[in-house]
Amino acid sequence: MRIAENTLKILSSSFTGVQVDSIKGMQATDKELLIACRQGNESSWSTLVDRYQRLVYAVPRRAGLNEDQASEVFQEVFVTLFEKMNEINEPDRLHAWLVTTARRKTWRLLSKERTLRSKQTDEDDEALVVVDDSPLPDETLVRLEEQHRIRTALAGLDPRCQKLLRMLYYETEPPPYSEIAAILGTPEGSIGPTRARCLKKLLKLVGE
Amino acid sequence: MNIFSPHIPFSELTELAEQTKTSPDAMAHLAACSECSSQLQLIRQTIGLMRSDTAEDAPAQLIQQAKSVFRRKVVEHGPSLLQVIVASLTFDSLTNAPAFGLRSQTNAGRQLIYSTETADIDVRVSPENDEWQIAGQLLGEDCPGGDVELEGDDFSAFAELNELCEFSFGSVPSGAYKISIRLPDQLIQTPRLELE
Repeated sequence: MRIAENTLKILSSSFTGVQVDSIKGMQATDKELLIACRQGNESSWSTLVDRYQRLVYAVPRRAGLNEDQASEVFQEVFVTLFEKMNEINEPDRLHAWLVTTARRKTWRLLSKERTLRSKQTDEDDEALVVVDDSPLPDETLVRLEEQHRIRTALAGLDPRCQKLLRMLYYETEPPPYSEIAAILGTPEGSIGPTRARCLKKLLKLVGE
Repeated sequence: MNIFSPHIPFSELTELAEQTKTSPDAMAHLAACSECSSQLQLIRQTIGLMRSDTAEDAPAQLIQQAKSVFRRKVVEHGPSLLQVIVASLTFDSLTNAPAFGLRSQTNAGRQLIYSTETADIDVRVSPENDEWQIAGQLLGEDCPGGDVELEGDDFSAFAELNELCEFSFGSVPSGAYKISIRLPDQLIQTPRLELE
């Protein structure tokens, strides 16, 4: 083994590394972001948090936890992600890992609540309160993951397409075409064809 | 459906999915064409998922706290979290090759060796059309596994070390690159390598 005399050894842990939020103009994949995080890249961590905040927060909320409890689960999930990021063997399935972790932590919190409530009920000598053991059916989680995939793909579209699809499909009451046309600065008649083009691009990204 | 394609155009499928248009011809075609009907189904499903997506953003303060986990934990762990080692270049076939080998070296590519106190990195660079192929191997006593980042100004890529501690990157454009190999307790970085 060759020993280099001028080997420079730096003890450090706070380097931030290279920006990998986008690679060659495309969104970085979960795997790329996770690997960059493992290498100490803080901005990749921020991108991961932004990408998954909604999904992670949705799990405890769908299970019926209040904002404070959901916040507790949310924080625990990201702390666990940081601590275990070197042990995630399938970075491509990070979304599934996060959902499973959020579900477990939600369940634990509910379980703790149930135990407390049950003790209280015994003390009060009242009927036992039955709490649903599985507040998050698989189909709800699958739906959340699918919605997350679409949102992530949407973020990869050009700003014009993003704006149009958000107005059409994410607004509780989509604005009329005339209003959308005015916002986008485009003739009303082009909204339909533009919508089709944007949807086609979205489906392509979702499928990748 | 037109003279160029026997299928329903995507724009029309979108209108059908939105139920802003119905056409007996299109309905008849959908009944017979599995490709168009599954495409229509996919569009409907996607629109349905978007419309039913009522998930709320986590509170901004909570997101900020989650982001700060990274810095906070790194500080908590202190300098022992990761040892960063910069390897030095100890061999470059471009400058060290014997005169009789120069021609073949140009065709076969270039070999570089970077060294640290505990390991060497053997890097081979070869042209690939107008771009470059970079292959390498971490030479040490054992191979604990890890990942490799190739970092340039306009191009970055990642690879994992295989069981022989090898890695490779294809279609690398010309430029200056740093290679970072992340092992369980070490990060080995090379000086920037010019590819032109």
